[in-house]
Amino acid sequence: MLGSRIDSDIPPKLLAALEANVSVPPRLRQEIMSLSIQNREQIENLAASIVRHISLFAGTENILPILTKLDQATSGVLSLVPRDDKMRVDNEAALVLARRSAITLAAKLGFGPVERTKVATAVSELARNIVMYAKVGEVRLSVVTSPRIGLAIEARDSGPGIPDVDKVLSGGFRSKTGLGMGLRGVKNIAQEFAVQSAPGQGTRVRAVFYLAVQR
Amino acid sequence: MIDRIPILRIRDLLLVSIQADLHDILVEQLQSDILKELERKSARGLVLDISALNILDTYTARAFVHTAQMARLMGTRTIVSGMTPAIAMTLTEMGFSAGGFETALDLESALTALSTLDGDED
Repeated sequence: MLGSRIDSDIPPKLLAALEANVSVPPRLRQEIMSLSIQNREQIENLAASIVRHISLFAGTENILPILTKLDQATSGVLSLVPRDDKMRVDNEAALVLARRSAITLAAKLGFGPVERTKVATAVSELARNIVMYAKVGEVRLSVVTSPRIGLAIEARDSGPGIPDVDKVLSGGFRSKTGLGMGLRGVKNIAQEFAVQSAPGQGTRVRAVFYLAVQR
Repeated sequence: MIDRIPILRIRDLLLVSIQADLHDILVEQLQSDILKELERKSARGLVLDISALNILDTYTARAFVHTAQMARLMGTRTIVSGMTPAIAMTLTEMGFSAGGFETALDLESALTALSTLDGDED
């Protein structure tokens, strides 16, 4: 899909469907009409612009209904509706894919570039811990709608577990490989963070990032 | 997925432009390639340009710190250039100490810093 052309009738269809719901300013209109190549980053940026515009002018409660209409109007080519994602993580390639999925989902939720980077970095840290310590595990990305729109990352594995979670999170434990730094780092950038772990019982980490309130 | 990042030599400087989505094996390969190149012929400076990256996690950032330390031992000064504001904010908020490697806003500033004797100009 990457790099292939988008049918020329998709941008006008998308614009018409969006205009049926909210007024579209010239800049966003131009961003939609200049969509020609199926470039992941361009579509992500457009998705984020559309979501932010809808939340600002139609309210956050209308984001999902309007995105659904936009997808219907464009035969789902752009798949703007954010969907939960579940990935098996057991090697490097899976780690790279997991953070790409995180960036895409964050964009579809209207996250700006900085927030997208934070979400993807958190996924990268958690997925790496799985690959390094548990060898295999799972990363779930899900859409949170209450109390605000957000993205939840859940990383689970049945690996060796962490003996003293508090010590790791407080910085009292430094591994050679950087497990502590990764977990602490995720805790520092997420708005909600929880770890469940015990030796021999695997590890479960949940981190939630909420969409920043519009200025 | 590519399996190697090219290292360019311009006079006594090594230039590495990282365009690919970095994964660990690629980072390790790059580290050892840089050291081999420095062993073959010494270099005054090494620039790692990361302007094309939109993610840099603490593992990779630490790998850069280690690369800079090893290069230092071989007489080479390392500058990481082109870090995006998003990466800078993320690493800082995560608590990653930025003291491990020298940085420059962009490739040009990095080259300027390396080509002046004390590196303080510009």
